[in-house]
Amino acid sequence: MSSYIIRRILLGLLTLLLITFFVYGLLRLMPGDPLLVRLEMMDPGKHMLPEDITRMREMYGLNDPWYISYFKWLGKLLHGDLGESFTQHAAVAHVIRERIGATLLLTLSSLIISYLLAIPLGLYATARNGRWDERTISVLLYMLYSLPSFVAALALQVLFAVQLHGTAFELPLFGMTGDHFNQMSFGGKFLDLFKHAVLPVACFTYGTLAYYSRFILANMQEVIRQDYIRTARAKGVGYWRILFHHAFRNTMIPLVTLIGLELPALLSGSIILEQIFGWPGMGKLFFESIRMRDYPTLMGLILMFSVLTLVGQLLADICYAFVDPRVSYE
Amino acid sequence: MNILLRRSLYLALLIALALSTASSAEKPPADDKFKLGDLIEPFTPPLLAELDKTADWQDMPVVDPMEELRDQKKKEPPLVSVEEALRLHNDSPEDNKKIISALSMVPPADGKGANFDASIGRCQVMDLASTNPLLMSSFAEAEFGDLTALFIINFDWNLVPFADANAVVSWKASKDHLLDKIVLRDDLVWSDGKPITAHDVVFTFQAIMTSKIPIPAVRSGPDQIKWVEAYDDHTLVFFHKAAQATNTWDLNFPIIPKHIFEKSIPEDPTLTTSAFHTQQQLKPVVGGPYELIEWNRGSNLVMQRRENFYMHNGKQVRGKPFFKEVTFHLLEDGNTRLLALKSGRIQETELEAQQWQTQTSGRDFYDSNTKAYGNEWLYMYIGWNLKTPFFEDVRVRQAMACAMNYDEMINDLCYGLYPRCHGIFAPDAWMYPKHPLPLYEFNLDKAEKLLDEAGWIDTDGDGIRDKEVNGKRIPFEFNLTVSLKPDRIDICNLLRENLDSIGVICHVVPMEAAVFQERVQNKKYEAEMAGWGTGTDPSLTSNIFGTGEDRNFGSYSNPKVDALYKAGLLEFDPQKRAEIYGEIANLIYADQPYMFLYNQNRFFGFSHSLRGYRFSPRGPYAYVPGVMSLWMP
Repeated sequence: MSSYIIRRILLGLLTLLLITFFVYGLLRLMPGDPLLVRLEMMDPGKHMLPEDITRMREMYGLNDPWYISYFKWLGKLLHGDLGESFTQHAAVAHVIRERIGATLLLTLSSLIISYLLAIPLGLYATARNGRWDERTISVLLYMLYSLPSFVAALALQVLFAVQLHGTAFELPLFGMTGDHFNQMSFGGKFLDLFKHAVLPVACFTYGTLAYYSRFILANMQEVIRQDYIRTARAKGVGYWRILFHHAFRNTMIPLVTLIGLELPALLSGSIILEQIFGWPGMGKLFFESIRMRDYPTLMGLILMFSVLTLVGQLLADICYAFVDPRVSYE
Repeated sequence: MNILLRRSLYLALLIALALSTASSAEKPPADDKFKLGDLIEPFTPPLLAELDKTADWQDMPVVDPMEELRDQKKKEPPLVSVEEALRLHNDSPEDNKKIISALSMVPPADGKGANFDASIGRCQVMDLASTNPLLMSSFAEAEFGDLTALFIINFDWNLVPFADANAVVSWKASKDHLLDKIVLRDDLVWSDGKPITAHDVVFTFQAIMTSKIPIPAVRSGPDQIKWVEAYDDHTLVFFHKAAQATNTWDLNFPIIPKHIFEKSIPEDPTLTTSAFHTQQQLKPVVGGPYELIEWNRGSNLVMQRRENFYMHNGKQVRGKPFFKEVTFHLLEDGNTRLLALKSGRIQETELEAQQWQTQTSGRDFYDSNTKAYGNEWLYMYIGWNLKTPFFEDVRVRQAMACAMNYDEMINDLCYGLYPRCHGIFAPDAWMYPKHPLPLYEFNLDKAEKLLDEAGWIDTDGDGIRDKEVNGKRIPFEFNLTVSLKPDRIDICNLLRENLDSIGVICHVVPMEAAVFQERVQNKKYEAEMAGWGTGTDPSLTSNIFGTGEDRNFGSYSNPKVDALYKAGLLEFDPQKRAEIYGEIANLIYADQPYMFLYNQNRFFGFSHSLRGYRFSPRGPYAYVPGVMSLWMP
C-alpha cells in the first residue's frame, strides 16, 4: 500500500507540473493583459503614462516569454511563495486564505446537507419505487434540478429579504456577515453567520440534492436486481436490512468516487450565487482573476484545484480498499 | 522501479531549473537601488524671500466646499417642498429637476437638523485593489479616496478647481503661472494624531515621482511639476515645468503620511507586499474625514468619522462629517443592489437604464425611495481606425455618420433616456462651440453619394461596394468590435442593418472586455464601439485626438487640432480657452474620427431618508463636496 501511495504521489507531482506548465502558457497566451484591463477601469481624468506602462510591464514580468515567467513562478513556489496578486495588491496566499472560510461555509454545509438528505431520499425512493409518493418526490426533485439557481436565488431574496422584511422570518439579502460583526458575542456571530448562510446554502444545495438522490436511486436499482440480493431475500433477510447492509454498501463505490471528485468543488465555490448574494467566496475570486488577467492569483487557484483533484482521486482510490474488500493495493 | 526513478529524476531536474531561474530573477542588478524621487530632474529651489520679491503673487480661490454649496443653494430656491418631492414619481425632466432641487438641500453651517448619529450603507460594483491613495486608479478607489484621503486642491460640481479651506489657509500663484504658493492650516492631523505638514506633501510628491513605486494613475499630473519645496511646516511652493492653464490640476493629488512611509517605502516600494504595508492596507493612517475600521475583501468596507478631523484641542475647527459610519457593500449584481435599496440595507445605488425604466416605477420602490438622474458628459461612439483602407477617407466616415438611424437608436434601443451626442463636448459644457456644426442625420441617400465620391462603388454587381487599394480590388467589408454588453451590441447591429442596405458589409464582433481592450489599444481593429467619460479639463482630450497620443487608438491626425490643443494649454483667459476648445470640437466633428452616438446619463435610486445629492458632469459624487454633502435629517 505504501509503495502504491508513494508512486501515486510522484506521479501526481509530475501531473501537477504538466498542468501548471500548460495552464500558465494558456493564460499568458490569452489576449489582453492585466495593465490593459486596468486602463479600462480608470477614472477618465487620469491615465497611465506610456513610460509607466512600460515600467509596470517590466515589474510584473510581462515582458518575459511565458515559459521563463513560468519557471520564475515555479521557483518562487518552491520557496513557498505564490507571488503577489496584480489586482489585489496582496500576497496570493493571503488572498486565497481570506476566501477559503467563506467558500467552505457554503460548500461544506451544502455538501453535508445534500448527503444527509440525499441518502435517505435515495433509499426511500428505492424502497417505494413506482408508488405515488416516490413519483411525487421524483417529480419535485426533477423540478428542483431543472430550476436555475439564479432564478431561485432572486425569488428567495424577494421573499425573505424584501417581503418578509421586518418579520421574524426575515433573512439577510446579501453578504456573509452583518454590520459590526466583529463586535458581536460568539453566539451572536454564530447566529449572524447562520442567517446569512441560509439562502445561499439553500440555493447551493437543492440542485445537488436532486442529483445525488437520483444518483443513489439509479445505483440502488441496479444493485437490487443482483442475484445476491435475491438470495438474501430468499433466505428471509428483512427488506430494510437488505437495503442498508447488502445493497447500499455496494453503491458506495460510485458514491465515494463522487465524493473524491467533490473535493476541488468544495473550494471552487459558485460564481453566479456568490455574485448574487455578495458572498466573498472563491468562485468570484476566480472569475475576477480571469477577467482582470491576474496571472499569479489564477495560478495559485489552479494549483490549489489541481492538488485537490489529485488528492481527491488518491483518497477515493484508497477508500475503495476500505469499502470494497475485493480492492487491494498490495 | 526504473520508471519511478526516471520520473524522480525529471522532477529533480525541473525543480533545479526553476530554482535557478527564480534565484537569478531575484538578484537585483547593481544599479537598481531605490532612490526616492528618481524621476525628478535635479533642481535647487531659491529662497522664499527671493520668490516673494519676484513672483508677483496673485490670490487664488480658497473655498470651503460645503459653504460654497450652501451659497449656491441660496441662489436656487427649491421648486417643491421635500414632502412634495418625495411624493413625486420621476417621469419627466421637470419631475427630475423638482426632485433634485428639493432634495439637494444641505443643513446650515451649525448642522442643525442633521442626524449626526446616522450611518449610511452604499454599494460598489468592484472591490478596492488597495487602500493606499497613491495606488488609486479605479472609480471604487476614487470613491474611497473621496472619504478618506486628503487633497489640497479639489474641484466643485462645475469642475472648477479650488484650494480646500479644510486644509489650506492661503493659495497664491505667480503672475507668470510657474509657481503656486500654498500655506497649510496648522490644525490638520493624521488619523494617528500626528500633525499634517508641508513635509508630507513634499514626501508624497517625491514618492509619486519614484520609478520603483508602481503607481498606476496618480502620476499623470504631478509629473508636470518640476519641484515642491516646503519652506517651513506649513508653507509650500510648487514649481511648474511650464506655464500652462492646467497647472492647477497637477496639484490635485492625495497626500500620504511621511512618518509612516519614509522608512517602509525603500524596504518595499510596492507599498503592498511587506507585513508593515499589509497592515497599513487594512488600517491606513489617513488625512481625510473618515478612517477605515474594517475591510473584508470581496465583501464590505466600513469607515468611521474621524473625531480628530474636525476637532482640534477640544475645539471644532471644521464642519463635522454628517455620518458616523459609512459602509460600502460590494454588490456586483444589479438586482441585488436594487433589492438592497428597496429593503433599506443601502441608502443609494446607481440604477441600470432598464431598472430605471421598468423596475422602479411601482409602489414597492417609491414607498421608501425616490430616483433621479444627471446629464453626464460621458459619450458613446463608434471609432474608426483611420489606418485601414476603409476609413482613411473623411467622406467614408461622414457616410457612416449618415448611415445611423439616430432616432431608432435613442428611442428604441436606449429607452428614450439618453440625449444625442453633439461631439466631444456636451452642449452644457463651457467649452462647447458657440457655433456648433449641424448634427449628422440619418440619410442613406447622402451616405451612398459620399461613398460613391470616395470611390467605393459596386463594380462587379455583387451588391457589395468595392475599391482598388494598392492595386487590389477589395470589398467594403469590415469588423465592428464591441464588448459583451447587450445594449451596445444592439446599437452595432442597427448600424450593420443600415449599412447592409447601401452595399457595405459590417460584421459585429462582440468580445470579452480584456480582449476588446487588447485589440483596441494595439490598434488591431477596423471599428469599435466604446465610450469616454469626462475628465476635469478639456485639454485632457488631447491624449485621445492629438497626433500620436497614447489614447488615440484610431490614429486620427489633424495638425490644426494639434496646434489648437497646444494653444489651449498656454491660454489662461477662460473665454479664449472656450473658443479654442469649441473650435477643436467642431474640427473633430467635421473629421468624424468617431461616429458620435449619445451622452449616457446616470441614474440613481435614493432612500427617502437621504438628502444632499446633486449631480455634476461626472455624476453625483466625483467632485467636492459630492459624497460629503449627503446627510440624513
